[in-house]
Amino acid sequence: MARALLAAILAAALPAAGGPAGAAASAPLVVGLLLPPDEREAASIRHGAQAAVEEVSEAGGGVVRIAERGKRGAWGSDASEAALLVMDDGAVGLIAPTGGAASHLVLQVSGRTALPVVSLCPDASVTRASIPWMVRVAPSTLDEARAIFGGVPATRWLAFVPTGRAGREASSDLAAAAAAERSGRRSIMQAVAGEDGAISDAAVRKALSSAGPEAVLLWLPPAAAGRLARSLRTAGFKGPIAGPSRLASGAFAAEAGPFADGVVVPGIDPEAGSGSFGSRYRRLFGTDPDPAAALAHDAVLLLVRAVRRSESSVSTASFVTGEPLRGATGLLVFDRHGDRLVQLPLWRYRSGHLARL
Amino acid sequence: MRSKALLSTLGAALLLAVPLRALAGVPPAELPFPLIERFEHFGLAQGLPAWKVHCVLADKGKVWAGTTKGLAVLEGGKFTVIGPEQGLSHSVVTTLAIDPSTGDLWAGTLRGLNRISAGKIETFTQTNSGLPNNVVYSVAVGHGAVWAATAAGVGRRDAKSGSWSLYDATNTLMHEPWTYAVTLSPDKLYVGVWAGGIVEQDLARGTWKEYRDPDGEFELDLAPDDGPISDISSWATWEDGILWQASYFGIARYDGTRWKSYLEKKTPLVSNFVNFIAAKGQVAWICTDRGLTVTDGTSWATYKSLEKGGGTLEITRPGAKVETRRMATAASNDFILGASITESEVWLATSHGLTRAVLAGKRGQAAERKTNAQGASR
Repeated sequence: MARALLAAILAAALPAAGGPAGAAASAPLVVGLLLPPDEREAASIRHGAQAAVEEVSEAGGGVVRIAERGKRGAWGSDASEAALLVMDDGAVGLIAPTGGAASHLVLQVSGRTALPVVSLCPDASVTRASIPWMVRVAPSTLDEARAIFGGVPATRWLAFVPTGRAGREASSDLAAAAAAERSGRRSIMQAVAGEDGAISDAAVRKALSSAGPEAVLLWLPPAAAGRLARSLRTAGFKGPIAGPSRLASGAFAAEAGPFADGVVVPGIDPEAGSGSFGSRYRRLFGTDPDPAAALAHDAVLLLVRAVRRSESSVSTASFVTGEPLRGATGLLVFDRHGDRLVQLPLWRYRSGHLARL
Repeated sequence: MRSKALLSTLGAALLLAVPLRALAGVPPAELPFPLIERFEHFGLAQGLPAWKVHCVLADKGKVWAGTTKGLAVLEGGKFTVIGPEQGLSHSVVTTLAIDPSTGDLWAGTLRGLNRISAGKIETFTQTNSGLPNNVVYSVAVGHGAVWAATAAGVGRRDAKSGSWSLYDATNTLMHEPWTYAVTLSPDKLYVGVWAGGIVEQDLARGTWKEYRDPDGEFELDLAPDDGPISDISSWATWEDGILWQASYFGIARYDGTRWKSYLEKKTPLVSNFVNFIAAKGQVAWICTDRGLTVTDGTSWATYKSLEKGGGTLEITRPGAKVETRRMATAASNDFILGASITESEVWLATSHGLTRAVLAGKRGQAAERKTNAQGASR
């Protein structure tokens, strides 16, 4: 059903297409994917995008090619890579990665080149740039934190965030979400981890001792969050532990082991929408898709449709008008700022697997 | 009978002689800027190498246009193109500036900075020089140096020594290291920072000052005129004592003491999405995604195209009704990325060609430039 709907949408968009993107369905439509070397979910994102390419092709949506770039370099090298995607690889749309800094660098290139962007980054600051031709397909940190606060009864929280820019942005968004709660009684104390999310057992015990939290937020990359969950339970913390949807990953479960049990995450169900995505992903890559893969898949679908249906330029309106696209993660609908409108049910780890709360 | 007829004739003559506005008791206020009389277009047929023009600079009889396929120069009615084959560091030219003391042209690209001097091209990249990052968004020349705003801070190249200095989040007040615009006043450097508002350096003292959007809101201007309109600075231009900040949420004007913000819904600004501001005197020529707006902050003129051809001019004078005029021509495209102002014309870089806007009353001077013969009117 969903596949038929996608085929109909793409087929309907093709005859109306004009301009550089839609000039010829036979010419590959190039989607630029920026994956910095430190992108921890790179494999999932890459695979999700590849699954979308096959899906679009099978649905009669034309040939799509993913151009991927990302290399280790000086600060700001992601901007150079994004520029190369646009100018040397001929990308007509860009997927910005999960990292806030890299996402902003993509947006800066987009601001000067007017190329559409779909961002996988949850930072609130990404859509605050007000680029008219970008949307965020991933739920924002604000949305995820609100979902957690609404479902986990605790008022005194300790949040572990990374050092540097990522931690600063996460802290700001978590504080904003807490302040927006109707009760107004929620407080968040920050405990900064290392740049890669690493924190020693002694530092964990000290943070628990000084903050005395009822609940803990792990706003860290999945593997680091998994190690921290283990450390927290080993240190005797018995309260609720929660984190963002990216913790719904094998990397988190593997690092946390049995200590993942009880950890709550707001859910992006990677198989909530398109019926074919999960089976296709398993056939192609031999594993279940995680949220990062599903969101990357949906980002490709969004860009392909937006570019194909636009004659000369893509605006946010190109993403939000018309029949909402149904992606792997459900209906892809956005507000006028480009933020995804999505319900986030809570899930809890039980015996290494996630179960709906 | 005869005298009555005479009076009637005189009355009619008088009526014809008096402008209707005067009869209505509303004398037309003189605008503080010239109006555009007509637009002429330059595209592939005229020799432009690509439709998309990122930036434009008119200087001493030449018009330089930075496109996605090289740097085009219009001189004597003909385009020539400088691209990577000629030594340019990349085909996508994003920003241009002239060194007033030497006449050298500085061209920023998506992969490096170039100096074009007497027909020779010298390139500066992050691997062969102190340029902070290869993606150059803005360049300015003055105070004995060239200043390049890049994705990883501002690079300053000293004209005499050739040495480079870096200004970023580690040694200035920049909230983020991403610089998107740079402009100079007689005593200050202003940097438009992506997600960091505006930072100002006192060039004599070397001290820094930061201007941020105090309300931090991107959807609402909660405290109008409280500072920069947004922390996302898309452009900054200083001219005649006024700093203009462009953003994707409107513009702000700073006279050194007070900030004033202008939003699409509250002023005649045609769009909040502002790519670029060129200034002459205290008048800003504002390049947006939906047309061109000209203002000194009180009077306004907006040029937009019509789907059926031609365009409209909307004039807003203080205390007067909006006056709308139909124009036979319009800019090549309403998505305008850059502008360069001369005495007689304004050149516009658009997403679909280069446009020459001829200013009213300056036709004679404009004709002398011998460029209009190549342009196509729409």
